Amino acid sequence: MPPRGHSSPRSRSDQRYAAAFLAPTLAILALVVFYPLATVLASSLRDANLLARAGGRFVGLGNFVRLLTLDEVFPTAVLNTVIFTASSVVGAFVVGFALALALSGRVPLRGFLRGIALIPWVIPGVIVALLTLYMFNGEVGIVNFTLRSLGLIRHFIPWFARERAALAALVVANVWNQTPFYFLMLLAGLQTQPEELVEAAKMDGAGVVLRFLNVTVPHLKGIIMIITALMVIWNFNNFDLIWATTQGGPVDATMTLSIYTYRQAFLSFQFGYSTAISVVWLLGLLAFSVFYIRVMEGSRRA
Amino acid sequence: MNRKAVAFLLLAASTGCGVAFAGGAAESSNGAVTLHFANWVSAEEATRKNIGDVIAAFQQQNPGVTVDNVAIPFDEMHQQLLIETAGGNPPEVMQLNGPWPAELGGLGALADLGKYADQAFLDDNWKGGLEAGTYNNVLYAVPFGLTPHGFWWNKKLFAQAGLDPNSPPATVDDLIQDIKVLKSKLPSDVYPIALDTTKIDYALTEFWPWILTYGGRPMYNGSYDFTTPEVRKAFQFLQTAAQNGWTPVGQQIKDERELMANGKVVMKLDGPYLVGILRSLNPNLAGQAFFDTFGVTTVPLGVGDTPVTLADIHQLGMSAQAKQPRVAWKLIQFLVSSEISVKEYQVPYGLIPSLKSTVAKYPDLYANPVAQAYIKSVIPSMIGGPYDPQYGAAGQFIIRGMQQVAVGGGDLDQTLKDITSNLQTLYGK
Repeated sequence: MPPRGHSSPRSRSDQRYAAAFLAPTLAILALVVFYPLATVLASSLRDANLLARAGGRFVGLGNFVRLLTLDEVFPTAVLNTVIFTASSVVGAFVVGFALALALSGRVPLRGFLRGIALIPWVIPGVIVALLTLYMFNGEVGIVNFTLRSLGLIRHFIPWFARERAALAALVVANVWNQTPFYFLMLLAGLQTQPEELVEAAKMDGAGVVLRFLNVTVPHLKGIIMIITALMVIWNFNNFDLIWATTQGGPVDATMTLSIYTYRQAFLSFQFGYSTAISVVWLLGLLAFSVFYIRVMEGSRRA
Repeated sequence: MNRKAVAFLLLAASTGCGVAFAGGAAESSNGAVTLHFANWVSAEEATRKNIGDVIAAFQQQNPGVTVDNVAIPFDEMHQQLLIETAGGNPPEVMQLNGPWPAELGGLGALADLGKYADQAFLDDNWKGGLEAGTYNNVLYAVPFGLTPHGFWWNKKLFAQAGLDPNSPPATVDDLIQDIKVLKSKLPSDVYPIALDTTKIDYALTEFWPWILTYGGRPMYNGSYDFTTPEVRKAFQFLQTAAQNGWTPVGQQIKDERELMANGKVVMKLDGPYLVGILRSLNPNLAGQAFFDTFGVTTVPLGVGDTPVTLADIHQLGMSAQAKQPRVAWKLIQFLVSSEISVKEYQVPYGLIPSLKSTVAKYPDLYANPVAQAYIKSVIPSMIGGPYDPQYGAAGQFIIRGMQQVAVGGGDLDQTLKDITSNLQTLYGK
């Protein structure tokens, strides 16, 4: 037997063989992940723009200093991103959970209703955006007609020309689009809920609310943690819905980090600056992910 | 096969497969030339066949020349050209719009067409058309078709409001007076005028004629001052129109056109292609009905007695890297002036020809009232935009300011100061 810490010729040969098989994957990863990431980091330290063909001057942390101290749109973009993400995740989660609970039991036309509930999820984001544009159109949108018919408004609201209304309209559209994902995941979780636990809780005298809080929610905790984490990241990166409807306006009312980064890169052609925004954005998402994973692990241990 | 051979093949497969795609030249060994012509009209259903026929005719007249028709949707065209330029692989001939010639020219990506265009060709163009493609005194693009914004009005709605249907407002004072009459006499869901208050880039393109007609020339000649009285008047007009319900707010240009096609907007600035667009949105406007309903003239005068509008036109440019520039220029000239281009593409698309001689040569094609109004009054009033390679970034500050005063409740003077300050920082002034 070879001494510990020393591998045999056969073992070394296996390692080389394994390395050869891993090489294509590593090469692809390097090409599509690490190289772009390194390029972004390098670009964020330069004043790269349309005119600077060689990649711009090295400005160190200049882009970050400007972003965090001088840029008046950036704080708005961060705030809007957080509001849009939080509202969308909470809204779609609540509606999706309610639907899952309603359609998990024996209800008439259950299969049909479950199918209907999934429709918004299969519609592409750009189509959702176009539908949103028409539905919330200030002149001919069905939302205004409905609200006026119900007596909730007297005059049509120009949704995409009012700063508060615009973000609210986008959140409503996004919740509608994403609810089926929560519905599907939570319904799947509810199907695996042990019936004996529910029966035991009933025998202990627990009502509907107590059974929900003490049996159903703990059972679904893992799923809830995963889907909310996923959806926070997805919504943080949401681009198509906002771009195809408001492009970040009116003024900066729906300006999120993804829209702001795009505007800086492809409308203002401030490539260095836009990569600095995306680096801060990436760090924010990384911080959230680390925090969330720790909370999940702590929860699992508890 | 031994392990070393397997490993080598895997590595080769993962690293070397791109080599086969490299290369490609404009001229082959037998002298045949291939030109890449990037354009958005081939990406649009309405014009794809027409421009294809024009290209086929060029190839027939020029044996040995193949035109690779590169169709790129308009929304992606700008970025695609920049990406291809940055990648060192631009098309030899490209369709351009607005500030693109200045941006690409500033990058060194476009050829100086002044080296290829003779004086007769230049003299045959409208001054404003050439200005639109000139940056730093270099002609980077020539007009492909003229599409400046004229002032359109609905004659029937004018008559319905008790105004003379054949007397559009000559000045902005007349315009405001007419707006007040239209607002008071027409149903509440009819807007006297449409001004773009959205955040899309085109909102600024549509607003420039108002700034110009009030006498404002910010960003021209190195001045970035938006606080001048002339510019202030234009922004004041926008703010008043939005706040008083003279214009629909938050409506993108396609929505404004839809409203206009259906009698919900009385006046707006738009290009000559509006004829086809409104007809497609409202079949009742086919034939003479359109000309009975709509008229077009110059932008109402704000100051002085010379009307003005922005030369927002379609252009053609040539790559600075074109290996056969003479052949590329030949294609550009063919696209601009050949009979098949005029009849199969320019006229059906609603473009006014860029060459005066074309109008003289085919008078019957331009006999309708819209073409006549454009040729006689709108086109002579157009001037080039204040374009430069930083225009894209500058435009973001201006559009933000437009939204602030129109729908954001922002203070007018403070907004104009902010725009000025941001532009001065951007341009290092």
